[in-house]
Amino acid sequence: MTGLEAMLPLWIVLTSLLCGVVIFFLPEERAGLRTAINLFGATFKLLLVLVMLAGVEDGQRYAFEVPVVAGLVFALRADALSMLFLTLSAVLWLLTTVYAVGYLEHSQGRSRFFGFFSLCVSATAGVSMAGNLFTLLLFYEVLTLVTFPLVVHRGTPESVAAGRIYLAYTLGGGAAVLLATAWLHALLGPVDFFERGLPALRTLPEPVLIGAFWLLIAGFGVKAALIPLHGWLPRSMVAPAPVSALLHAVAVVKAGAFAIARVIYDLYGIEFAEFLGVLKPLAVIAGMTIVYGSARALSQSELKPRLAWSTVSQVSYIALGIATFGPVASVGGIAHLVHQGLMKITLFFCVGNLAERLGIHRVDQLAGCGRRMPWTMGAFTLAALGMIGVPPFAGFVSKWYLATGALAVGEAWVIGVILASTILNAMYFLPLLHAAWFLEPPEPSTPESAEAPAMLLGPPLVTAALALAAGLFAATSLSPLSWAEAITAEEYGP
Amino acid sequence: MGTTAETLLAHLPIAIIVIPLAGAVACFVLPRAARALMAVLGIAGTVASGWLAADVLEHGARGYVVGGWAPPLGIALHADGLAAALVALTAVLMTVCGSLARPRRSGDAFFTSWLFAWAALAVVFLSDDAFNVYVGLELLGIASVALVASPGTRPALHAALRYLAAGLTGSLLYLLGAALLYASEGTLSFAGLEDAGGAPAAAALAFMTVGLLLKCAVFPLHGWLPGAHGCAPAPASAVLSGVVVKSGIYLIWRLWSDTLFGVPADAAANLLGALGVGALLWGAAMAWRAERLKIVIAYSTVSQLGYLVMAVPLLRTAGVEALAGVMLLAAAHAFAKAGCFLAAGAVLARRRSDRLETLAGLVSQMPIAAFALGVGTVSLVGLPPSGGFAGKWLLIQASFAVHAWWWAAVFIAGSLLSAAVLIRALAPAFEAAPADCASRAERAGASEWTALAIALGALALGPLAGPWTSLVTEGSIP
Amino acid sequence: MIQPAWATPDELVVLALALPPLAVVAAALTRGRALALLGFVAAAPTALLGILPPPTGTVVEAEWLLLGARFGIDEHTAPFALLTGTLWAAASLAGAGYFDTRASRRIAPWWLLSLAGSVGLVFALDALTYFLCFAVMSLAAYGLVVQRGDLEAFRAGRVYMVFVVIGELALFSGLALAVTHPLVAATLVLVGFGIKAGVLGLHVWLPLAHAAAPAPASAVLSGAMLKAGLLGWLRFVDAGAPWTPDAGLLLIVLGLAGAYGGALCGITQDRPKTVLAYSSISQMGIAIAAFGMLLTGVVPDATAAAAVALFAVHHAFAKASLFIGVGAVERAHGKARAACIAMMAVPALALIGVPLSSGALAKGAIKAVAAGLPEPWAEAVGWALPGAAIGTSLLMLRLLDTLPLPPSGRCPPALWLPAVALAAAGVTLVVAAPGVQALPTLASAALAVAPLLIALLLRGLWRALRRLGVAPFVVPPGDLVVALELLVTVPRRLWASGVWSRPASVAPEPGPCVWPPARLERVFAGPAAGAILTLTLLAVFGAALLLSGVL
Repeated sequence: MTGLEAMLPLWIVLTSLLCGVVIFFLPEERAGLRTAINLFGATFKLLLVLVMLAGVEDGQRYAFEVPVVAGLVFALRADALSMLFLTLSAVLWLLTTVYAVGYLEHSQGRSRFFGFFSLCVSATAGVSMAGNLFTLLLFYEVLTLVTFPLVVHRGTPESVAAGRIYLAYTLGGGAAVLLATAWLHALLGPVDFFERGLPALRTLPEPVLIGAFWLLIAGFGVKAALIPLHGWLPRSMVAPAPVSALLHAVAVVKAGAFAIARVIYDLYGIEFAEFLGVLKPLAVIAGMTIVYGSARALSQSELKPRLAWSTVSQVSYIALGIATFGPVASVGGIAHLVHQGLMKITLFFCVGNLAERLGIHRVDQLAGCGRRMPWTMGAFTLAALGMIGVPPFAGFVSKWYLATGALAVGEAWVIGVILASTILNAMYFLPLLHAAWFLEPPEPSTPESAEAPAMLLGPPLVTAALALAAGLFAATSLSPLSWAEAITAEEYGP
Repeated sequence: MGTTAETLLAHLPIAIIVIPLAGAVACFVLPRAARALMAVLGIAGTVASGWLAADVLEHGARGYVVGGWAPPLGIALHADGLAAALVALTAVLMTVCGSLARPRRSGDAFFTSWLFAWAALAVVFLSDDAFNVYVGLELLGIASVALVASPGTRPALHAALRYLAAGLTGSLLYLLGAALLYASEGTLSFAGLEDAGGAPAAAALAFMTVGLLLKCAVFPLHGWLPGAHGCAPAPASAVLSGVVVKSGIYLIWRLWSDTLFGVPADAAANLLGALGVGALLWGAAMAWRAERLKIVIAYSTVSQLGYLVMAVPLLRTAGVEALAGVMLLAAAHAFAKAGCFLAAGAVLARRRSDRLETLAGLVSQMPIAAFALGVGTVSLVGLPPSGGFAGKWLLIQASFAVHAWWWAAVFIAGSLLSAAVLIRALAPAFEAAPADCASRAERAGASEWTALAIALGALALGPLAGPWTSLVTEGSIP
Repeated sequence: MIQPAWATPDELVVLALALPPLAVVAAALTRGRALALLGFVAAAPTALLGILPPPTGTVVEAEWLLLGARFGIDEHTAPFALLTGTLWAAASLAGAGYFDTRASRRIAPWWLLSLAGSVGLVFALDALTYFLCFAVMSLAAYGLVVQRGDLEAFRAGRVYMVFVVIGELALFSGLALAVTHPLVAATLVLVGFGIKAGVLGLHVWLPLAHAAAPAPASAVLSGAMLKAGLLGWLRFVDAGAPWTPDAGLLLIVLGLAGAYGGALCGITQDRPKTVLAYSSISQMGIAIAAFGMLLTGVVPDATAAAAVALFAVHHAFAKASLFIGVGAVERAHGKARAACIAMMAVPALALIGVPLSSGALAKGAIKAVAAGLPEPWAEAVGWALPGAAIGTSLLMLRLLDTLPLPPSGRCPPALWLPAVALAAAGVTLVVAAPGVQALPTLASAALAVAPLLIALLLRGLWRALRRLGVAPFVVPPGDLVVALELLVTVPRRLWASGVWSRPASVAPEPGPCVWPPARLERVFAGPAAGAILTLTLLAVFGAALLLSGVL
């Protein structure tokens, strides 16, 4: 491997970083140039990711390390789990950029927005490729910082208030992670991620390990919206639609869930974590979050908060899958990382389109919009059915694996959680679909379709198709499910 | 050529003091040429300091005897890693901020005071005996008071007078302590005082410490700082918060962990640490209540000084690792605070008011200044990848290493407190401008770009923590 | 079986499976025109495969689909393929006459998706694929139920959807639990498919859905979709497990209770489609009882399964014919209407089970199976079945009552043709079915016709009572659903009244902080306090340092 190739992880992080910095300095009026840089950056990054993906499939190991100070090492590393998250974020970044360009066409402060947008993706890439706990913490906190201006972008008092609450929660979480990281560092030296768990970790006394574990889970659980740390998520719905789409499908919540996966798989090791007895409580918390999030979604009369609570619920499927000690359930959880990302981003894109073209923000305004915006609502329907767990969509595959996996290790209560959540999902999604397709629109629809323009319509159609394909073709070797199976096979060993 | 370089190198410590000193006199004599002199000498001084730092990093501590007269009669200078690092920091900040200064009248003694302050700081950092340090402290005090008083407004004069009173009291106490030391040990050189113990040394330590606490505004003797730093012109506030207060803290570090280490002072060190915690909390509380941006930043200095004082017990027990951490914190704070003050100054100049409720629309109208404030905040709070984070990390590691885990908790809690305070102050900047104001970005002036550059320096200290730490720990406290 | 030379059995199955999804795509591209043609073409191969089935054991593997899918022919496929394909084809044709262009375009995606699911499950051999097709079929049928777009249709759709979701969840859990908790899993699977099959207690969605859906849709709903539940039972309930005999007996009871209950509720209804819906419940009750007999294991599985399948086919043709006939009557006027009503007599009589009808054939098969039951059961069933026939007769007579009287007009041929065809198909069945029974003796013929005569008698009695002023009992369509809806609406009203919800709150603006008070800071700033503090600190430090030296 040449030197250039070995630095591929760094290049991937730097691509969007440099794009972001350049975009910051573009004048507001240079929209064409900005769009070009955005798209170029996104495409280039996707290409790099695919190159690295091919390399990882071949068995190459990419690693980039540079010592910082006093035993701290900044390490980027690409393994199967990081490639899963990285590819997801690269693909979705490209689509969201296209969408955002269309959505914000007449907004203020676009240079600032797209600058921080690129930085956000850079931070996400860093999280996915972090090779040790310090680097993960580093990019985790940077992610907090660069997403704050996106949340408060609109500048209304609600946005700023939501941003402050967001910072309060996420900085608190970061402090917990910092404490745990420093603690482990002081006891162990460098805390690298190691397949199936860091061996040196097992030499520490149990109370220390359990304490550090819960600190890490609490810290990462803020972004992953585990109760009771989820309070920031519904409030941050005041952000513009592309921000909600990216944050809640890809960047922030997935970073939290991904970090939890990393901690359990590559820091503690799944078997050691089971031995410590920390997996069951985490699974219970995840289960409670699933049901609570779905229940709260029911009572929301606005679309975006409803989707936000749905995110709270759905991301915990990932945590539940990881925390259930069984390969099948873990497969379900990890696959759901991708599945939920695809479905949720579709939903947010569609809701953004509805708000943008028809001014629809509330559930009771949805009547007849299936006739007026058929493609958008079509994508919405596909994604919503997927969230409910109807076969052959991706959501069904995850739920099936979770259920059978949990049963295989005797955790039958998980099925109850899945059933309750599915019922609740059906209760808050099906009425939306009914209203859209079977009710008459309030005014007579205009002759020309109110359908969104190509830039706003293309991304949700692509992601909806991907969500369908991820489920329909789940048994093929290209699907997220197979990928998740490969990852789990590595973690559980022979 | 080699020997010329060698000779220059050998005289670097005195050169670093003489250059600004001469410059101060020259500015007094030729006030019209003050700005040019300032620029030239600034660059010269920075180059010299940088060279010294590089040399110390490579070859270890360097001593210098003025005029060849050996102590105890003569003046000895000692440049170890810590001193060299602080001198370099001073030079950079003094030069950069000085270039932005716009004194009210071209004839007044602003630049003179500025350069005197610089020279005094160099004296304090490089001196090897207690009396020299006293001279430096006095000069520094007077120069700083002049800087604070330079706007000439009533509040500025009040604040300057208060500063003067505190400063003189502090110097007096310090002198008392030094006298005690001389009486009991017969020498004032730091090298000779290393084994000093017994009751006189203890009393001397008490006097000197309280004096220094007064001079560098550590809680509860901080009363003069918010007024002084809030009213001074922005570049002056920048260096006052950035390096001037660090001088006293530097001496406290020296005394408690190096020079008078013979005094059994563990309990008192913890007392100092408690004062640091108090500073942290009080500064945060008062910053929460403040209504002007510059006051918030000034109280943030009070808070951050708390960290530096809290490190004293750790310095005594954990040694080098704690020193590295606390110096990273100090340097990051210097840069971040300077950047924040310069940005706040730009805001004040452009908008005529820095009241927090009028900040709406700052992010779109003055993006560079807002960004500088943001970056400064990141470092002050201690978020990665800034130098503030690196410093806190090392301090937390040090506290774990000596099983003093409560300090780790305090550092982390302090981060959250600073975050709460600064976010509360700066969040309104993200609000959209009121409808009647333009929301286009205005062209950024030199002060805004400088603020950003300095603030980015704080951010750069994170990745550059390695070299900085090596420099600082070179040949200093074991 | 006659195998065409141009295709292997696998390819025929693939053809039958692939056409419906292609029809969906075609409908999307043509924006819903030519629905009838698309539906017919999509369903026809399945019907053909039902008439001329490939050999059992033909399997088409599709590992790439979902989690690995297996389609093919097993011992149950042929009759269900026959009824599914024929019904959908016929109903699609009927749709051409029943729907106007706009309605046709609106209903097209739902129609074709439901068709795709319905056809798919016939050939689906593994549980997950069956579940997939079943879900697609059920969910798409929602569009059929609410097609009319008025409040009644929406209510019917809501109830329908609730039961679909419950059924899906039951199936999901049943399939997941299959390995670890077989008994629970079997119960859930029984419930899940039982909802679709119309088991008593789970049937409440049926009357509402059938009444609301347009006639061709009701035809496939009653004809094909209910049978999907039966097929699911046949394929996926393990007939060899220790509890199946008890389950079987339970199902026999439930089935017969449904047969009677359906009839009782149905005779009080006012609308023809509701009457037919209750008739479906009643008839499916018999099929359920037959399946129960299969589970008891007293007869070889193949025989019992054949009886169930035969009954399913018979009922499918007859009921679909009746539903389309009702549709024809709606659209027809005058002599045409009268002709339609007359034609509907054929399937009605078939349902009742008059001799030489498909009903007699099917019921005879079931009676043969019942004869093998242990003693009290055999006799009970022996009496219960004719009683059920009385009920069916009453229902058919009630149907006659509810049909609108004919004013003058015409009836589009697209409507009455399929109805007639299905009726004829029922007759053909009798002739072509394997093991055609011998001509009945006079005694058995009389026995077979008896229910109809008794029903006529009862009806006369009823009318007399009403003329005397005795108020009839009325059952609202959906019977139990009314009680269930109360269970839901009461909490919902409580919820909407705001008892539990909190107003969305924005975080309060940080007001001026009143602590610590500003006075305190002035204390620190004042010279006097400064001096005092200085001296205090001096004292403290001095003490600390000196004392630690001393101690």
